[in-house]
Amino acid sequence: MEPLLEVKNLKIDFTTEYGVIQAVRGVSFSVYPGETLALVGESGCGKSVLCKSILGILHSRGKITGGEILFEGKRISGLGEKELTAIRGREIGMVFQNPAAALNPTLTIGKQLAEAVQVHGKLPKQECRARVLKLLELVGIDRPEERMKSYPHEFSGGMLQRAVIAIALAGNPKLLIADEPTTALDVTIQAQILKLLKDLQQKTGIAILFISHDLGVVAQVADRVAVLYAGKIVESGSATEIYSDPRHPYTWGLFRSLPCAKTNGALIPMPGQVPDMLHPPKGDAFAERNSYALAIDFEEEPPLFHVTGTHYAATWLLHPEAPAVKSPVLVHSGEVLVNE
Amino acid sequence: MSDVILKVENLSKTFHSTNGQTTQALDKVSFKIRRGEIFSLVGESGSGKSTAGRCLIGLERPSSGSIVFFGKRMQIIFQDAVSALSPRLTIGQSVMEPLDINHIGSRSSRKEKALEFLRLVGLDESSFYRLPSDYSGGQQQRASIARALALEPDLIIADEPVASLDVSIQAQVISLFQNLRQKNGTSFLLIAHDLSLVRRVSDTVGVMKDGVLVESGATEQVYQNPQHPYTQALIQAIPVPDPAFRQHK
Repeated sequence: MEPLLEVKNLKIDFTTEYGVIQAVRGVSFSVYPGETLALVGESGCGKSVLCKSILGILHSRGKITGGEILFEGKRISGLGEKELTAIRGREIGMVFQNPAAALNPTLTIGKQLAEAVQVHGKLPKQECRARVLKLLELVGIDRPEERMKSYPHEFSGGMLQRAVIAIALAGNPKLLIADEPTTALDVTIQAQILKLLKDLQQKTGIAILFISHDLGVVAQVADRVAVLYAGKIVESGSATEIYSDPRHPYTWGLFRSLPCAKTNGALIPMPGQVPDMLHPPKGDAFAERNSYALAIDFEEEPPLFHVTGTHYAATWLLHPEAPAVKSPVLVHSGEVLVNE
Repeated sequence: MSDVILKVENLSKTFHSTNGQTTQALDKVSFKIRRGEIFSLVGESGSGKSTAGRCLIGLERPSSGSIVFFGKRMQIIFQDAVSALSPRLTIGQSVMEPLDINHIGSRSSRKEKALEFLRLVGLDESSFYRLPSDYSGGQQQRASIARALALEPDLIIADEPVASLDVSIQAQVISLFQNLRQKNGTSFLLIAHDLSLVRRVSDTVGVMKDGVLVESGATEQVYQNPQHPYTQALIQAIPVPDPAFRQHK
């Protein structure tokens, strides 16, 4: 199958008054039709910058300095505003973290949805209304006829996120980018929105690029997972491979930090901080925080080593000459067990 | 009663808005916190958990009920460390400020003390002279914790102290709380919505819904055998970090 979205060796720099920040340092991944790929990482790892670059909405200080982005085989990185407008919403929809900020407080939900519908081709009033009602129904909003007359402040957080998803779906996109779509929501509402996304995918076959820092949430939705650290993908594989056989020490650290992780004693925090990408460290960017770091980690960046045909990780521990290290993390029967 | 540090009885709070509407944010909430205990209030947004914390420290005046504090000092840590620290004061000045205001010790001993607390929260000496803007959210939260510790409170009210932090940093802050409890016997009221985090750190947990404390008890007991349907729903909604355990197929 041909990938829907292909990101190839993408590099993005931000120019600031202090110097150049390398936010994305050679990232490659693909999203296939109908699947969910989750990008996992902490704040500052470059995941939001990546999404924005796909839609061409990078901050003016950010610039793609290498690589390319292909959508259905066509290069979309570097396109002009006019061509990008045709892609945004129609080919690729986007859902942001904070639904309240994504909506206009002075317009009714129905008006905002109608606006999104009309952008993708003028429709007669009645047809547009029917489409709005259908979208509201699709995202599970009850009594859509009544609800379309409501203003955002009359909606709860979960309902707002449903409305935002409806807007993102207005142009029948093939790919939905969801950037931390449930982070601002309560846990019971989060579960509903995750279910909604999965249901939508089943109904419409839409592909989802899901951005999250939460391994719990990711396990619920992802078919494949890519772990980002300091602007690079450090591990990637099917969800089953990443959870049942994680290979990168950073992925282990993410699991260990989970409050639900069962350790022998206290919670095991990851030491240190994300490196300052104004001055990227020599060697592996994670070496400083990595208790499994080898001498070579401080000298040379590890390449991607294959574990299986679909699973690979950028750690020298996978080099044939490296000492054998067993993963301290085991995900089994819904529990994360840490053995250290 | 010597082992109890805080006793809350029938605490109610009603907010009146300008258009005559009233909201019952707290409805006869009662609980006790023992010395050295980490007590958590969980619930969804709007459940009244933050209002409870604000009433305890006097940021809100309760409508009725009683709060009895058997300790000496109480401090609060807010969710948003970035707005809790003055951008114009160095981290050191911020941590020293409560000591200055209360005229505790001499100038040099105050600095000594501030440095000690910065070290305790894992910030190095140079942070004393630097501005909050030089630091990440997690580091700023640790600085605001250092300031909360400066007066050596025996009860800390922490309102969503890690909600805006990354998982790896969350773990750092939570282990810090546990160390403080162990070293100084500090008690905590932790207000949080992250149920697996609460399970991990607290001895006792209270579940709030619409201003009512619907269930409370020893943490493991509540998690393993939740009695109230709302508690059951909350616990079921926690995403399980295992793709083999999808809650919805």
